[in-house]
Amino acid sequence: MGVYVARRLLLAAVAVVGLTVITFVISHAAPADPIVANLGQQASQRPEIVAAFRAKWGLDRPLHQQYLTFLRGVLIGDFGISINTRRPVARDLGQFLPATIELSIVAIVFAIAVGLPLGVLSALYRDGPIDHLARLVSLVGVSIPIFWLATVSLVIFYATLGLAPGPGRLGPQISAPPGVTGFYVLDSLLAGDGRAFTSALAHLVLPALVLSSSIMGLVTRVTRSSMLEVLSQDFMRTARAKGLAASTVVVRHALRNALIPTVTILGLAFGGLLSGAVMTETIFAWPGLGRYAFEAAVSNDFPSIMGVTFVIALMYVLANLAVDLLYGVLDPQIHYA
Amino acid sequence: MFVRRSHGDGVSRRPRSISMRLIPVLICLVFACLPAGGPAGALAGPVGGQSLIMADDQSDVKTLDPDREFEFAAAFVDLNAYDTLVVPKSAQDFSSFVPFLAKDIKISRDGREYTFTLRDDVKFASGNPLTAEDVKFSLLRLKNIKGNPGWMADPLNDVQVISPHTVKTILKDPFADWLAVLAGPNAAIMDSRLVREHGGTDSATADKDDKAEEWLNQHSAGSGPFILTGWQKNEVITLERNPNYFLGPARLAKVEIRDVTSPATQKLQIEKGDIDVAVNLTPDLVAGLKGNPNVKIITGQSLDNMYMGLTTNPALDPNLARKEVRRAIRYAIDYDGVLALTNNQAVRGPAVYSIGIFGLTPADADRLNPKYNPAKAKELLAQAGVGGGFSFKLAYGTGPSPVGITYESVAQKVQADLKKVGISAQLAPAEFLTMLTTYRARKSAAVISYNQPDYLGSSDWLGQMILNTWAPRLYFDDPALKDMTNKANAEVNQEKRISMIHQILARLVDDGPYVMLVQGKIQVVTRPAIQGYVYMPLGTARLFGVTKQ
Repeated sequence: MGVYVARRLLLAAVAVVGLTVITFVISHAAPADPIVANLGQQASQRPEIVAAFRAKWGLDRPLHQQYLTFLRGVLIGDFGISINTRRPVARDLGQFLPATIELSIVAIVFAIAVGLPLGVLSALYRDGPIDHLARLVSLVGVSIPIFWLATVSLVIFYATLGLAPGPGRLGPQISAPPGVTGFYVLDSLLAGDGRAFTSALAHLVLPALVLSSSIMGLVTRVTRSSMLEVLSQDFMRTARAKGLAASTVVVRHALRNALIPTVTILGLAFGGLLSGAVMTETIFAWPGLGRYAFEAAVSNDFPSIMGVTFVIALMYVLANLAVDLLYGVLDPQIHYA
Repeated sequence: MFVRRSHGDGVSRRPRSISMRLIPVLICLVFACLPAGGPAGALAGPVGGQSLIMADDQSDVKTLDPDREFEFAAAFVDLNAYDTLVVPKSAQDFSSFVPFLAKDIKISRDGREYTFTLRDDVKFASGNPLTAEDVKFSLLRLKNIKGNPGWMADPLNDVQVISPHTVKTILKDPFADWLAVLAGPNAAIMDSRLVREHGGTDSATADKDDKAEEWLNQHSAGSGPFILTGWQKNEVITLERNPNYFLGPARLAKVEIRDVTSPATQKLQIEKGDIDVAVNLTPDLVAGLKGNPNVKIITGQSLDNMYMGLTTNPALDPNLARKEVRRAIRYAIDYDGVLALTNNQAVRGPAVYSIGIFGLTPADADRLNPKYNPAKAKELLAQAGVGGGFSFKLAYGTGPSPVGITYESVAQKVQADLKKVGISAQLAPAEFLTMLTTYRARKSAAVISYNQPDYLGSSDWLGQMILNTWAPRLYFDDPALKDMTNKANAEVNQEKRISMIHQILARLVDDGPYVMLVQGKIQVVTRPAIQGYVYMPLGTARLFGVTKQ
């Protein structure tokens, strides 16, 4: 297994570097000039201001040199300085990535907590009321646009019913806890700040639910279909014939075998959440990586674009490696060579 | 493929480990069952009577360093944390300027030398007294950093310290709008001693050697009514009252400007009472708040506008290059219909010159503006030999515009109006930066774009329309107009200058390449408890006089 992991990590490094090359080329080939994006109309006509801008951000050097500088920096954890925030990109990532990971983890938890049982029950009671409900939930989850769901959920649960707090990671006039992990829930606990902890936890619920909606739908669907497949297998009949309790048959035999496609979906979804939470983060004023990446993209902030790409790619690769390793844990028939 | 399945029955059981794996799920379920936190007000904690909570879209803020920033949300912060030598006379008359940190201003006859006598009762928030050296440092740093706003110091030749409280700025050429530049956020007077302590410099090599930006993004070095106490990008900017403010401490002890980019979210927050001020509501959202007793709508005249630029280059479009055709297009637009798209929260000036900028009152605009007259448009098209109509490509950016409505909606209205006179405008939407890159590369036949003020002076607008910026992009080169503009920009006699500006605008309306479409109004929504919040162009509001009952 160690050899397998090492080989995968080596391939992961190749994949990540390849992706940074592609991103670098595409972002520089886009027909939008960073001068236009970052200098005003008058400033962009002053050669000395344009020259100073190009020199400051290294845009006056040949493209291959710019890329090699980026790659050399990556080796020492230096992604350069963001044009948008004027801070090291590594520091920005340290600030924005935990916010998105915190949100994504809770979203995944919601998706599992609701989607998994619903998928199982749906398969067990196929074509019954629960099945219809589950199919409806999954259909709604995967088909409703996030921006609409986010706005409507804010209107209902925040503005109308008052059950959820407003946007942001913390309520007004609550200071962020001292940064240890970047996860406000954990950091406030570590700091012993109960007010910040309650606020951070409460602020997570609604955006995480919204973010989880599509994954929840997917998990429900995939779990249902793979459960149906497993339930029709011969070994299930054997398990029942042995006189095992129904719950044991379902949880230990059926669900365990049906989980592999679900785990695959969750691995992919986690990577997607990290980069695709732009709308949720915008509507919930969540200062995460999605919004940071969006702002970097629209202003041609090359250092940030490259830093975000690198980190997202890395996390995607690692999430998928973790999924592949989980296969072996879930199904002993799987061995790694 | 490194994962492979071995042969077997697939029912190997490890009940203990599956139970262990259920533990996280159970934890998740418990976590999921935690209460959402109840009403937001309960979570918000006690809101002090003199703390102001604002929601503002800060996504454009790159820096809070006054000599580098060039964004409105940053200007708002800087104009409340720093003071300037002069300020606009009032929220109604923001094209006249009165002394502020200066107590007296003398302008030489030739309009090249401005001598400022500084107030002697001003201290920076640090406790350091304001001196002429601070003025010199601030203006030279602006010039030498060569940042986004650095060009505003182009007219400056030298700054001379005459005495500890007297400073003279010497310009290269007469420039009537120098006070307008000095009233802007980029001409903020900084505590030179403090900025130097944190790596700042005003030397000729400041573009390379100045290291104060990072510190200035988290702290301010000004004498304004508030002190910047922190900026968490995409989250919040915090200001606290400056106890040393020379006009006395502000009523508000603290200001929290939360970064909320979604206008719809801001609306929910202001209705709920979680924020005191919502800055970025669109006209349709504000319309939905009318009659709500829990909010107050403050309307101000924005200088931001949206215009259509038409090329004068026959190689790009032989029809648009004819001045009769451009005049016809100006007559063909149903301007009232365009303004209606904003729920009539807008006005219109001539060419690309906004009402409120020096020399242009609403009455002047009404006199100078082209009026909707499709019959006249058809007549002009016939005269130009294109009575049978023609088509052209109209580029615009996707997404919102500074005037509160989308470029798309205005482009569709323009398309419909032009169709009535036989002109087919083929809409060419593009991502905004892509559109702007093409426009700046002088490759666009027709665009819908926008303008926002850089400083509150007429030369900014006249210059872009006639001398630089948009004029070359549209191949508009009128030597007589250029001469008139240069003279107007140097003219210190205000009456003469107004007359010159009107002549320039009339000529532009007659055969220029611009069609002003709409000039927005700003609608800021506050809670009723907020008093004294007045909108000001370029920087949104000065919070010194704001109270929260």
